[in-house]
Amino acid sequence: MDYYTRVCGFLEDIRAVRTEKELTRLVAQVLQEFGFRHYAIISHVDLLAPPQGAVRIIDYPQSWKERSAQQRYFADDPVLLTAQRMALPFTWEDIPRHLDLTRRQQAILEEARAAGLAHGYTVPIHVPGQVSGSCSFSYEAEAVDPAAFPAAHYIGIYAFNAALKLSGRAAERPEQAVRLTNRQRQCLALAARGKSDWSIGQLLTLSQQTVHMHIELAKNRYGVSSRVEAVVRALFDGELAFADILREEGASFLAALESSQVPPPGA
Amino acid sequence: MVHVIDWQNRDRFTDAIEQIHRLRKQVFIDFFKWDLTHVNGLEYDQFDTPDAFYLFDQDPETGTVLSSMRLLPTTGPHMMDSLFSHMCAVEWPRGPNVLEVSRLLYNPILQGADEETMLRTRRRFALGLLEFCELWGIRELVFVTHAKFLARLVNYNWDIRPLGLPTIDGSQQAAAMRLILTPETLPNLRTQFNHFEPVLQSHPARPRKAA
Repeated sequence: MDYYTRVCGFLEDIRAVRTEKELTRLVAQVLQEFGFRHYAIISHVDLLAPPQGAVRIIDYPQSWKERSAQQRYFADDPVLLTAQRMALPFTWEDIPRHLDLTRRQQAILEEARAAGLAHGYTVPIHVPGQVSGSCSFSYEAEAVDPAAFPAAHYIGIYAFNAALKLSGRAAERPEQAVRLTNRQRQCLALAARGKSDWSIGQLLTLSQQTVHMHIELAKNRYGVSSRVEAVVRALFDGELAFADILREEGASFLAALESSQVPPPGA
Repeated sequence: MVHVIDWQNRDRFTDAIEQIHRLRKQVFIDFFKWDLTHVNGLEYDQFDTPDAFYLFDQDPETGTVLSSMRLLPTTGPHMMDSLFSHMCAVEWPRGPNVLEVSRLLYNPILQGADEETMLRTRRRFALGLLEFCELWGIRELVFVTHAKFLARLVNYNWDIRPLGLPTIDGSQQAAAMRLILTPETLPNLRTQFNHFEPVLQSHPARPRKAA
């Protein structure tokens, strides 16, 4: 198949869509042609109580949808957590390389496999100032030509954007969703490892006072009065991951986050 | 505020030009580890010729360059032609009203800035680019971008289309894109960003023969 031409056709088609139903039909059609089976195009929000403007187009097996909603799997779904950290698309086989899976997360992946979601390709969507999201496309083993993945990357990005526009307005980050600055995150991760302000300062080449200020600001953002509470809240929100705290390699994740702040090399 | 310089007016901006090339060395060679050449801490390549334009955003108080990009005419040697044609599945547009964007960067000092400042800086730069294109009658821009920026580029309320599928270029995933400009593009982006003040402070006049 000429995947590039098919992507251009899809882009032409979605230019004219007026409803989510039409968009869903076009997405389903192109994904099927590429060999994909199920898909989920979603904003990373609480899917049981999505804020206005959130994207939520899910075609997963009904049994899985019910099970994951009931068990609130989305809060620690390894696919979504990986998408939250990754800038580029990944296959589900690669998830263990990006995330230290907890027992619960391993169980989630097992259950998904049993429900018919064994293989998948996920496109993370990160736009500054907006809630992040992702597009996940599942497939049967061997059913998808690897050359289709870069094409699916575009399908995901443009479909998410079209869904966002249809949902009325871009989901402005809800007030209650706290975001930390990179510095706050770095300081908090090191504080969680038991480092003093002084030694954090040495590690990050900041003054002790600056470190103190970053941690105080992080506490303020969560409206909590202790460092422990701030760490717990940051872990819960996914602003920090256990790997950032428990492993030395965590530092590289923090560095990667920082580097993602330098936008596009033009060429 | 955003400025555009070319060969004619560059004498007025020698400090900014030096900052741009210094930042290019810092960002692309030191940070991204691109295999580029530099002289005395300044990065230059074969496309930095009298035909190139540079768009940059400068802090009006300190003179610090906050962001910069290079614009190359597509009627002469440009990167898509010499380096990236394999990334295009179709012919890329070229002509007197098509420019190529390259070496887009943001000053690393912005890493310490909060997200809101970063957002405003990026938006101001995009609006400056569109204002310049509007004034010069530029109809299209072509460029290669790292694939991780595709979602944010597509999110802007403008008509951006792939010229090919994302490819692995060295260790990086990159994509060739075209941005089609219409009279609605600038107003649409101003509305999306809720920013209606012009940001382009100075730019060279378009030579008559090229118009």
